[in-house]
Amino acid sequence: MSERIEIGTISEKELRNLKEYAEAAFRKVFEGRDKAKQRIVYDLLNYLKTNDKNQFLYQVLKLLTPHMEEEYVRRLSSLLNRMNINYDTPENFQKLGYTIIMGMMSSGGE
Amino acid sequence: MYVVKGEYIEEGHKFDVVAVAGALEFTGNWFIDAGILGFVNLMEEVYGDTWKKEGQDTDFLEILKNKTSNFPRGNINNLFTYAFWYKNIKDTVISWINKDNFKKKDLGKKYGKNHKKLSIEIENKLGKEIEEWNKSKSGYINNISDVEEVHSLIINFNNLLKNALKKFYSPYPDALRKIYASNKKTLLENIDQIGLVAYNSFFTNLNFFNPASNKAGNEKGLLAKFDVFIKDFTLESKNNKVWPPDPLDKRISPFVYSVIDFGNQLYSKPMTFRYLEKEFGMNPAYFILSFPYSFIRVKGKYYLFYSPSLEFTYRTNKTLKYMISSSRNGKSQSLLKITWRAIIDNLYEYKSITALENMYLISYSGIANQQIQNVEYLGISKFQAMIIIDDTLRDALNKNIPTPRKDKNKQRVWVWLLEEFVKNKPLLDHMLLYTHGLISDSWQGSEKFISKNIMITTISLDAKMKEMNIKKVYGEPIFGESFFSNYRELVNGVKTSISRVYQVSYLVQELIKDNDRKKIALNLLGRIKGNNKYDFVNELLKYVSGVSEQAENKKSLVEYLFRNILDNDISWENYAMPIVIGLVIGGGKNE
Repeated sequence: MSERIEIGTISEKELRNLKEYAEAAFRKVFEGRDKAKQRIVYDLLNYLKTNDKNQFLYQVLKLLTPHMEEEYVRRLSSLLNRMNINYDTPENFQKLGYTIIMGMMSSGGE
Repeated sequence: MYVVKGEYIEEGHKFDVVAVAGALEFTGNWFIDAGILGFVNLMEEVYGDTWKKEGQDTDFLEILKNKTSNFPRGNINNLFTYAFWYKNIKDTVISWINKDNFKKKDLGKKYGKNHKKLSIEIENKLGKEIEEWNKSKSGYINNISDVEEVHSLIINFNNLLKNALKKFYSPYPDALRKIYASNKKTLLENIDQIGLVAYNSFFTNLNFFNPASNKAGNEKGLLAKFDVFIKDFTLESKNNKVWPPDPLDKRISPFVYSVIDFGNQLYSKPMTFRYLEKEFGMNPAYFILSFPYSFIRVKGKYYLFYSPSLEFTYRTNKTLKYMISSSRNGKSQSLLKITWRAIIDNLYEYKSITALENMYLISYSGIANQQIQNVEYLGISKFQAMIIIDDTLRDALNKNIPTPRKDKNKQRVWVWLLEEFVKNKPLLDHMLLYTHGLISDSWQGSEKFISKNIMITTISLDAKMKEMNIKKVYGEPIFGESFFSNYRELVNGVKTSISRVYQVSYLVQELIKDNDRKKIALNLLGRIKGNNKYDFVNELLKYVSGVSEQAENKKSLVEYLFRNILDNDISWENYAMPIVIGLVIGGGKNE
């Protein structure tokens, strides 16, 4: 909501960047594979619900690895890496996770 | 109220000046302003009917403004003198009649009278005497130019009521209780000794209300002292050399400190009548002496609604008085509720933003031992005023909605949204409970028909209130540039937010199938109630991700969730609720 920055709180700007990168990166990853995307979104939502951070990150990185030559995929993984270290709390993980899923869901249909 | 007519020259330019000082308007000082309102009320009570009959104008405030600017100063003095004493004498006599004057048993045994019936009978008779007096004197009072004549008139009125009281009570000499003059005298004995039957708990310290000099035969002397006071403002016969002779202090009103007892309360010289006269260009004695008449008496307490505009304050208090007197017979309502109804009623006719930005409700319970009791000042916030001055928002809030509670008679309890808002109570909770009732079909009849517009407006307003409170604490510094603009932009902010949440309520109707709506709405509402933001998002995304096609709609919904809910810990429920409402109430885009 506001621009204030406290230790351990993700800023609005960082979240927006994350969503933007996720949108661009997964557009490439899921090109022409809408059904697969649906299934994976469903899985990721379940990991978040049970707070299973390892499975969530494993799944996301597994999707990204084959496309590392893409600019946005590289940006996304490095941002994710940095944020994961800087904001390592369960609350922040939820926020990061949902942002990635939202980016993923917005990536199709163009 | 001195009308200044003449010329005024500044830098070589001549201006014609009419009534620069002393127009009957508020000054910005609530204490003086309350006096001005009291003055208007006093004059209306005494001269209202007569003056309304005289001219074309039916609005008393206008009439009084005209009169006070046209009359010469001496005439106003006479009008005020008569009005002040007429009112004090009348009120004192009525309060005496309402006292417990009779020994009930003796009255029954010896005279065969019931004390209640007899008291009512006496009150009616007295009312007739006063009415007769008013009729015979109404034309005459306006034109008296001599002070002595006014004094004689007051004494005549005083004698009339004294004689009336003697006539009413003298048939029952053995049944009267000694409740006057420190329980030493009966009403009849007291009447014989006292001069003017006038008492005012506000001004017991003024020399013309002094019981020691208020003796039969000294009426003229008392009125002469009064005359000196309203002309010269002198309170003491000999000057104490330390303080000016005309301080505005506790002797004048229990609302202020005593200059002599609490000299150290004042950092500088005390406020004086002469200063007020110079500063505001009107005779302050009228207003200081009229101060008590600005208050309305409700259930043993005295109340005054105050705003910085005479017209708005006068009209609102008038409405308030009317509403209170008519609600005594019906349902009892909270005073704050009645006050707001009065304010809103007057808003339609008289729109004044400056008046609304600074409103107070002042109350006290009485005066005991010359101390004012239980004074309370309740400020009505600018934020709330900004909202209610807007027609759309006020109309939406000016509604009652049902709650799950029932009263003793098993009747549904309804709440007035505007009242909840003014009391700073969270509005969202009411919407949650109401929506839950809608889903579980617990509303009957008219309870079902709270419109989507009311719900969405209320929820958006509640969101902005929460966001603004947070900003006040963490965000803008109090004297920062945007602190005041926050208020100005608030109404626009609420409206923008309303149109945004309306759209999302349509979106979910497109995305979620008819059959699933109720189940999902109930689930989502549970997440909101449980304050479980991420589960709410999870639930909704899971459903939407399974919807094939409608890519644009999905994208818009995701963007809405991202922008308003995911990173919002302050008011996310307010942005989540419209989604549930969209599913429950429906309503197309063209509704």
